[in-house]
Amino acid sequence: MTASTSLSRRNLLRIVGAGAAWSALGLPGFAVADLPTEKRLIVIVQRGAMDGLAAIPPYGDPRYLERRGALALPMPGEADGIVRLDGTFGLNPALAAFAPLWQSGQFAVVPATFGGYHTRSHFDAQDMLETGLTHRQGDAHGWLNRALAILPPPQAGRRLGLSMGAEVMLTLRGDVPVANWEPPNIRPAPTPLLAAMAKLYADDKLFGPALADGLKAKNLSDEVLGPDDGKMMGGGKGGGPFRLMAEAAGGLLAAPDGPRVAALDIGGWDTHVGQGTVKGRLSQTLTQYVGGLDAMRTALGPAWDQTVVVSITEFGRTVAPNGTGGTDHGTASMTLLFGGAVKGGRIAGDWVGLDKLEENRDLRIATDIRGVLKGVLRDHLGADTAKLDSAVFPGSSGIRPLGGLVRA
Amino acid sequence: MDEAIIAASRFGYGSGPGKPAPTGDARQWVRSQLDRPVLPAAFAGMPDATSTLVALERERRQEREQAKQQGDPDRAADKSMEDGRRKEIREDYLREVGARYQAAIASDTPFVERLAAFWANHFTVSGVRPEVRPVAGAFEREAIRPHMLGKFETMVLAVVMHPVMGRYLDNAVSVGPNSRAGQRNKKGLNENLGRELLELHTLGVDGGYTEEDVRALARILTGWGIGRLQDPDAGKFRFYPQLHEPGPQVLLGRTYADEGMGQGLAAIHDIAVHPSTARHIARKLARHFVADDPPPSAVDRLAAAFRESGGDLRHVSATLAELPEAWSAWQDKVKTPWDLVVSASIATGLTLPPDLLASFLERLGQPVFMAPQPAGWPDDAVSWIGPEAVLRRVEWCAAFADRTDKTLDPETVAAQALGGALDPAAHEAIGRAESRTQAVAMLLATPQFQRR
Repeated sequence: MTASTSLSRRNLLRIVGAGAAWSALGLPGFAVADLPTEKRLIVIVQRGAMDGLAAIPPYGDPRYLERRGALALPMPGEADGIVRLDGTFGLNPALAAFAPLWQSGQFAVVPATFGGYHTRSHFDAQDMLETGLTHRQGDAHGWLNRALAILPPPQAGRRLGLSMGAEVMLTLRGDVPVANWEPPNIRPAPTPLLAAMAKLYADDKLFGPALADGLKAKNLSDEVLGPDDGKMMGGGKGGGPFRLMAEAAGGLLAAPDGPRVAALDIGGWDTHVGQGTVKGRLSQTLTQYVGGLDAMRTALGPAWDQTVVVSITEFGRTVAPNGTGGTDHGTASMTLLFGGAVKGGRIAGDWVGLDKLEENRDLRIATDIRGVLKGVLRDHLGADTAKLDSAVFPGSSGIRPLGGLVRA
Repeated sequence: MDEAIIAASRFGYGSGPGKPAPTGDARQWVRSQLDRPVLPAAFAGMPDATSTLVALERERRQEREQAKQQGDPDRAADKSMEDGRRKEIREDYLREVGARYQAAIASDTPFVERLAAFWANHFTVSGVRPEVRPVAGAFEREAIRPHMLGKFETMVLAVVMHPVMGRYLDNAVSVGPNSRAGQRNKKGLNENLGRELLELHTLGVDGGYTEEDVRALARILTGWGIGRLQDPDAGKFRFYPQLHEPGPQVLLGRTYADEGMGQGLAAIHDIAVHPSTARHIARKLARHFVADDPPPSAVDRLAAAFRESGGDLRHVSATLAELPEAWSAWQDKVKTPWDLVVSASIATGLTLPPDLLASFLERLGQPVFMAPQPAGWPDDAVSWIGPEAVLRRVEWCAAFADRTDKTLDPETVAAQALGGALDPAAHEAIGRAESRTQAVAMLLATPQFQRR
């Protein structure tokens, strides 16, 4: 699927089917509306906990090689080596495509971020990351929806918010109506799910052999069942469902009177086994991530200059490798920001170093993710700080917005 | 194994937030449903087969005449009109699919719903024949549901006399070669219904009948047709003496005198209570509810119940619910795609819109009302679980889970749907899934959820 087809009328129609008003979509024939802002904000939730130290390796940290052990990446300049960002940080080689964005100041990294909750459960942590709270609350709404509520409202019937996926993401759930984009009904199953099922089916005389043969027939065996030593071929197409959603999100936000704020998610980060270094499970996910962001940027076109993409994950992973070539649930990870409106080409916020670790195993926290989000909402969308403290992230007045992430 | 979970899953479509597994006596919960079968509310206002068939036939006739007037008798109809009609047919089909699904997920007598699905499949009429597609749902409501807890003979008769079966297995166009019409028009016998009635619906392929019996039954049933548009009973069953093959017929060694329609009534009575029929039905029920290769003891008990009661299906169903084998051979059956989709909907509380439901089931290989053969959908694991099919199932589980409420707690869903049946390794893997959505997808894909 190319960039242009995903922006076709047919795809736009899916939104209408999902309940948004025609007028929200900027379809030809409608007058350009008075929207409160030309700025675009896209929030990506990376489900499964990205290993920030693998994505943005702090290769210049004196203890990097020792702490990371077998998961340390080759140094800048070596074959398949880290792509240097500054004297401390670099890019995982699978993210090399982000280097030009860094150079042109459209990509920033906030290292050692965490959401302020205390859990290593994916489900609970994702809930709190998406609700913007530090404790579980049954029917809580998403912080991004509350953020929409404090922005100047659009013209009646229009929707500023857009959730990618069949169900509205928790991040965008709430009192303010949002549009959502439905992907095609059935897509190839996500690789992590297939890998999990291959294991669970292994002892089943009926399902086990059937799935193994099915994967073989589809040439998926290596990707799904690949050896855990990280030797398998990484990534490949860089496509998958994320690319489809990222591209569609970009296209829909590009429309002059389309939505302005979107949320989408990408899985595949929970790399307990066979995480790999330059090749392996994580490399596959990173490749999909890069491919999706690239498609999103292309689809946004000139609107990219008005855009901030903020990419968050529920927690980080252990600094040291575990016994199965992967990493377990940890504490701090990295928050990444992309877009023409980002004041990039730099590391924002503090770095805590790898000398002291949280509970002697995890990366410590330097910046609360809510501070990053507040900074973006305030400086990019003009949200009021007092309301950010009380309404969007209740009880968070102690967390200051991280300034300087966005171009003035 | 928890009897409440067996009861809900084996004799129903499973349990979930809106349909908890029974508390108290699980066997009594199953049995007592047979005393209170209800016509599901989802069917209120659904059209009957006769009006639909008549309306369609009128439309076709009108178009033929229009085309004739325009001097182009070969041209079927205006293109836009055809598109309009296709859309209408699709909408009608989706309404039927949606109603059937609603009936299944909302039912408080899920055992009765499962029996309805079983008997509808036993007496398959398939929308593979385009003229059947709009009325297959009505057939279930009219020929199957009212009779599935009565005498088997009554159901066979209702099926054979139903205009949809008359079309699907061609009996409506079968003409006795020696009847008045047969002599005049040189038309003849169509054995289709006679054969399937013996092979699929009653005696079974090994039930001890010959090719001559097939032809005899086909001759016996000539004249069992459908009222024409100009008749007062248009679109309803009608016996046409002028099409009926005259003379006595010998079926299974017994001679049936020519009493017009009475000849068929007598023959149907005899084959419906035949010992081979008892055995055939017993085997199919046991295979559907117990195991692909059911224990002979279970088949024997069901066959005896059938014979002793003269084919009383309430008695047979009650016997089925009491089979010790049905309560012990847990997880021997793989769910068909329909069962999977319905049980996943109940387990997660997610109701699919009909168009999506229909496309899901097409993709999973079991489009609603579209069995490929008069034999209906297969009822064994090997027919449903192949390399491509299992990939599609996993991919469907992901697509379905994507649509479930993002705040669903996978642990709760697992506990409500499977109780303690979930394999410990699966339980652990689900707890460690990287997102709720993936955890729900995994749960639905587990061998434990895929089976019953």
